[in-house]
Amino acid sequence: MPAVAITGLGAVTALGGDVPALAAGLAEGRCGIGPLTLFAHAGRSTLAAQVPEPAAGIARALPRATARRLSRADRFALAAAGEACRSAGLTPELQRAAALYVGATTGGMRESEEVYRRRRAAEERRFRLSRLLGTPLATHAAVVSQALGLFGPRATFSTACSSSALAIGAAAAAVRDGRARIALALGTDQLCRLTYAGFDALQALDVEPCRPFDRERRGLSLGEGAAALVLEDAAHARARGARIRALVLGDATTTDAHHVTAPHPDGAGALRALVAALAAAGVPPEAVDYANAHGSGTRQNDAVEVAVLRAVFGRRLARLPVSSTKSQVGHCLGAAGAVEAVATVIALEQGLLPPTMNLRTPEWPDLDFVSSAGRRAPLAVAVTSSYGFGGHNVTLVLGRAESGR
Amino acid sequence: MSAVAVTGIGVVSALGHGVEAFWDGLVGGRSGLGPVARCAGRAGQVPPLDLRAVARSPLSRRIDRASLLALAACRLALADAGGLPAGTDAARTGLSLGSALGNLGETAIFLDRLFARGTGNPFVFPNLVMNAPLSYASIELGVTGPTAFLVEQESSGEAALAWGAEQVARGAVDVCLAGATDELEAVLCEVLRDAGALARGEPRPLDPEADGPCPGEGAAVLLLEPMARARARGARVYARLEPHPGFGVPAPAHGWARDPEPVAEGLAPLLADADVVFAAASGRPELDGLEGAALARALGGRGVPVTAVRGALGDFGAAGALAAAAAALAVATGTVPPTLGLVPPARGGLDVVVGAARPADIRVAVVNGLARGGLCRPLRLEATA
Amino acid sequence: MDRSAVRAEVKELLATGLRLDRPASEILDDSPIFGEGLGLDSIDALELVVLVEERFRVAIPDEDVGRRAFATVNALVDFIMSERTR
Repeated sequence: MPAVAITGLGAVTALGGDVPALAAGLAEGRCGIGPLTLFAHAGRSTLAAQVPEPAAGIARALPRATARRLSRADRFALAAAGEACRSAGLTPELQRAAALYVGATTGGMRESEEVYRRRRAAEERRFRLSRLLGTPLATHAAVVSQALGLFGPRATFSTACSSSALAIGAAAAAVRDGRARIALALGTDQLCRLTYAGFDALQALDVEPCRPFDRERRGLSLGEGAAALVLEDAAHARARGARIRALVLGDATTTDAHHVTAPHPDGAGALRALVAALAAAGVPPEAVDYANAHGSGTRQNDAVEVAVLRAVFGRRLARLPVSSTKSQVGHCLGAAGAVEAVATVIALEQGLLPPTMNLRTPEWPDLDFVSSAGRRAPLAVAVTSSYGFGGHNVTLVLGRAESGR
Repeated sequence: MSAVAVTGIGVVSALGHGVEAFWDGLVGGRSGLGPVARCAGRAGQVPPLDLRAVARSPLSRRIDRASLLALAACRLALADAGGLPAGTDAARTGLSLGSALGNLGETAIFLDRLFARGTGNPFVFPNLVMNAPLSYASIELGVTGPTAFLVEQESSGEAALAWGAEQVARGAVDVCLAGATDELEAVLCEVLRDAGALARGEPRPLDPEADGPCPGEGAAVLLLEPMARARARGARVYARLEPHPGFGVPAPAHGWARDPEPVAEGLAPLLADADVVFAAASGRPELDGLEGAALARALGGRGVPVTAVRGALGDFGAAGALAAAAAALAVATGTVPPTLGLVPPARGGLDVVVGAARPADIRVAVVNGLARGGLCRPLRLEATA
Repeated sequence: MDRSAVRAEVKELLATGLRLDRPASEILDDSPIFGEGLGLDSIDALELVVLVEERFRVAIPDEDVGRRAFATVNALVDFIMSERTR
């Protein structure tokens, strides 16, 4: 497939409110996982990678009727989308025709679960629809479109942990197919009691900060935030003098058809996604310099993921750096695909390997999980994979801007 | 990019199970609405399904209602097409489903336990991801190719159908099941009733006197494949489905656009050769007013018949997938089903079919998907004979 | 609560709480609860712990206790009876 340029980036994560903060956090090896303070939770786990309220930014452009109904996830989305469009140098005219593809899982649930609780506890005498309008996931796309004046094609994907990876794939396809010259891909999610209690009830949360690929790993650490990428037709980008940050070389999506939560033990679907994405990108496995893993830190995922990487990269895997950004920003659910894609672009741009934090005793000592931060390496091609609850697998192949395509 | 054929249709709705019950009901002017206890009013409820006949794998006993409706529609679409084409590779089979609100019933159950006892419900939690219908259907049907779950408010059906059609057109899959599901749920009805957002009597799409929609539920799934392959194997083709990328118009993010002009401008090229329009109208004044004015402008006085299925089925996010199914059937049979509830004249002076179904030579049918937040998601179906 | 009442309640919990295919009366006392017998998986196990703890006011502190207690319907009834007499 023809490469698609990435000309803008935005991010709001536990490492900070913008892309420079994320980049600094990756370089310094900071871990954004700490105590959960957003709401009370009575369960085994007490940790999360929380995100402070972002600056108002483009939210200021919204009329009051929209502004007072914003969820935190909306505000994260606005911050990331605003930064991405600004960094791409987009004008209102360019934004008007731009497409928007969003990935999300919880939407306005944090706000809505509180409305529900108050109604059921008779603290309110009736439901107020106006307080529940932010619940549907499609609201993020509407809010961002209103703030930025986007009137092109628009879609919102929700495939659990691979939602915004799928949105990036859709944005790339829209540009490749000529349906839009510019397509904004965005992922956003926020912590809420429902999600936190659900994962805890499944015993899927580690009581310590998650330790992907560690022998003692015990589950994930939930995170939140948003990330956005401006995808653009490469010739169009060059013609308007935009700086190309990286390239989307290819992508693929497959399905496990196995279990509503557990990955297929053989990882067959994840394997096919990685192989198909590399094939679509025209990149042989030997040419991959870095793999940003799904790396959620559950016992099952990491084992299956390593098996998949071994199957594709063979003996070369020992020399291929693999790391999990979830060890720093937590599992951002619907935003994870986009957050990790932005981290991968930063890695390619700066020749800097994001680390896997909290790794004390790797279960696979022969492999390179980048256990310390600050390692530099010339990176031309990287892969990033996301595996969603219910078996929805997405792999993206990204290339450094000067890869000559 | 290849042309996309609709070779199977599966529907579960208030009019019954299967495409015949659906089409016979629509064409016969039957209403699927009736008193539904948990909704304290009139609503469109899908008649009971035999769970074990639809959800056959052992762990599917945990399936939720929205997922069950979607899976039932998938199975019906496959049966309608006589099964998947021989030799179809599971990894080259796609699945694209959509929903506006997903699994509301079990979300309430989960929250009830959480607030009463402080713990989550591990049994129900996996069903609360929006893509649960996609997971259950992919497991039950053994689909391992590209799959996606789309959430687009009132145009979730149109969005899912468009994604599926794009995968077929691009050659990413050899066949794709695409459609949408939404369930009728007590808390939703309570919220809408508290807000005064529902009709006091029957819904009256495109009627200037309408006071709101009635809630409903249902799922529709279409089997899509490349036209050349469908023809080569002698499949029955209902229509050609052309995905449209959709567009946005200025609107409050949480509400309906007020200016019909940008909608009309965006729709006009698509409607230039339309022989029938399946409207999104549900009896909700803000939507019907916008759509009536926009269609009137876009059609420019041409007397193109219009119909709205939500009068018979009730209003729910996935209804656009059922409208698409009806549009494909209209193209295949040359019949426009009537719109229930409307007493002419209709908004915008539109030629809305009422009373009896109207025979028509339909080469092009347009499904008008409109959603809050300014989203326009039309679909185009074209005759192939 | 006597043993046969506990047994009946346990079967009811399994049948309705876990949405089993068969009515409570058809669950055999010596059926393995997991694996071959009733075909339950780890998610069912987690929910069963919640339901049993709540209904019978007993505590299942860890996986080992759970595994032994949930081996069969009889094992579960034994566990509940012994916990309740503490």
